[in-house]
Amino acid sequence: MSDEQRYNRIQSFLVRAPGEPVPKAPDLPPPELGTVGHYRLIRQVARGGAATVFEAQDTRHGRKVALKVLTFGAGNPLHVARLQREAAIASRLRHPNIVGVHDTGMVANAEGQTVHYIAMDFVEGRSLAYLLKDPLVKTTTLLGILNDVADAVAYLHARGIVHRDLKPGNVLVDASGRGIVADFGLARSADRGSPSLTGLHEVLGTPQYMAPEQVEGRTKDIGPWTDIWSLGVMLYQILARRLPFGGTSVAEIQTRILTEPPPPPSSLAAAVNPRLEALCLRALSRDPSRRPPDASVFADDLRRP
Amino acid sequence: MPQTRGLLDQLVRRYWKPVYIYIRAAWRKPNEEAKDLTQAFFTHLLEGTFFSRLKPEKGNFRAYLKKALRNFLIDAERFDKVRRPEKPIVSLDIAMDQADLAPPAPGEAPEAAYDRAWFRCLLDGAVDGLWQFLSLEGRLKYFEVFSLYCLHPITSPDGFRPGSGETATQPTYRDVAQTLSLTEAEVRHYLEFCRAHLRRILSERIREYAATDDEVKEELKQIIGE
Repeated sequence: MSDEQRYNRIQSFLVRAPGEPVPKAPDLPPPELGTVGHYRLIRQVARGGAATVFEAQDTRHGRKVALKVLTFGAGNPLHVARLQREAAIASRLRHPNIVGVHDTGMVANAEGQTVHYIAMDFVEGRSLAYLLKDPLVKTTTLLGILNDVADAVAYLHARGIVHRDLKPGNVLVDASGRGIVADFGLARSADRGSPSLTGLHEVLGTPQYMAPEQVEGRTKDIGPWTDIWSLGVMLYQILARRLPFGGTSVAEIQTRILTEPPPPPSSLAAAVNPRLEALCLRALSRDPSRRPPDASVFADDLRRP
Repeated sequence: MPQTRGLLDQLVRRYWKPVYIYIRAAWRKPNEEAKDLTQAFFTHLLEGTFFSRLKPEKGNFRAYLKKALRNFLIDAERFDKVRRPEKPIVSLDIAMDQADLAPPAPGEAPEAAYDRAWFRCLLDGAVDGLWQFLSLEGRLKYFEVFSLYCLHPITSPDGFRPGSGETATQPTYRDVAQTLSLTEAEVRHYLEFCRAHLRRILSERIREYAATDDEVKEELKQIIGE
């Protein structure tokens, strides 16, 4: 579809009978620094779409945690269900490269509103997104982090879980340089029996890491190979130090994901390892069957000398 | 009219493309030179008194910026002094680097190319705003529906694309419903929701630079004809 057609379509879409906005659930303001249950909030560390993350002290167990509190649309049962699902998935995972969940629950705040939360490992460090912007961080360091991520994702895939929202912002890097995957807000068991909460999303972001099957809304086609695409985008960023599908708007980025092959990283950066470039471009195959089938294969290829 | 420096910076980031397109169409400048001129123009505006002299009574901001651009280019040609600024606007460099910078349509008047690019920036911005809003709302499924209906062709199992080609037809609610395993009623509901919010976001974007409600209405009319 040409740009002209796309803009025409949006314009005619806007003209048609305007519907009234559907009222949304009332928002719950982020809690003032204070306490949530037995957690003493120290500082806000991140604010996503539906939740705010605080550094907090678990006064019962005397440890520091990251407390994720549902704030936006807190009255929406779908948001609550999503948070509970995230907790349910994350709490059964035990892996050195996956953020650990300690506790989940709900408490009433001072206004009598119910506050839903998840308490997780507090990772002191930076995100991979931050490190990717730093030209002084070596490629080998970044590849080591991606290796950790691939191990974590392989562990997920082996348990039938697809993360579906892998991106550098969801990868924490601790002081020792270990990559740790966080945020299972979109994760879903690969088996078809799992309840569908598709469309729930909490982190305000860009579609840069979405696989074509996600962009096209082919939810039935989403599987481990979808995470492989996201790993491929991250590998591309490490090798070329830029995104494979740039653009200044969601529509432009999505169109490129669906229509344009990414330029080989070696055409953009010097000294790109040909084997890693081949792995990267394979992971970014538009046809999922051409990608490495799951993250363990991707991780093995990444490590191969 | 934009009154704060932060908002002005934001407007530069959002509406640099019409300026770039105008320069290419009016001066027949190649890509890199047009980029440098675009940088020079905005640096000139942000460093000078242009924005402080903006007054609602001077009329439409889009037209006012176009007029300033025209004057800038005339001066630039007269004095042959336009160079890439020593301190370019970094965010603008990044945006230009990432953008798909197709040349203006052959034969299109620079003024028309500028306006068309401006309205496209507005629509792109409104769609981005819709994405962000639906992300926050936890309703990305709605965006998938909107995206299939308006932004991307649908491919049926036999390879037929209802929305592609020169004789493309709009995908129907049924096309979208089948692709996403929804009912047609759900698709209609999702699209009504998206339409209402896209219109709201579009109006908000215009209000960032428009001086009056009448101007907002006039801009909307130019874009969607109502």
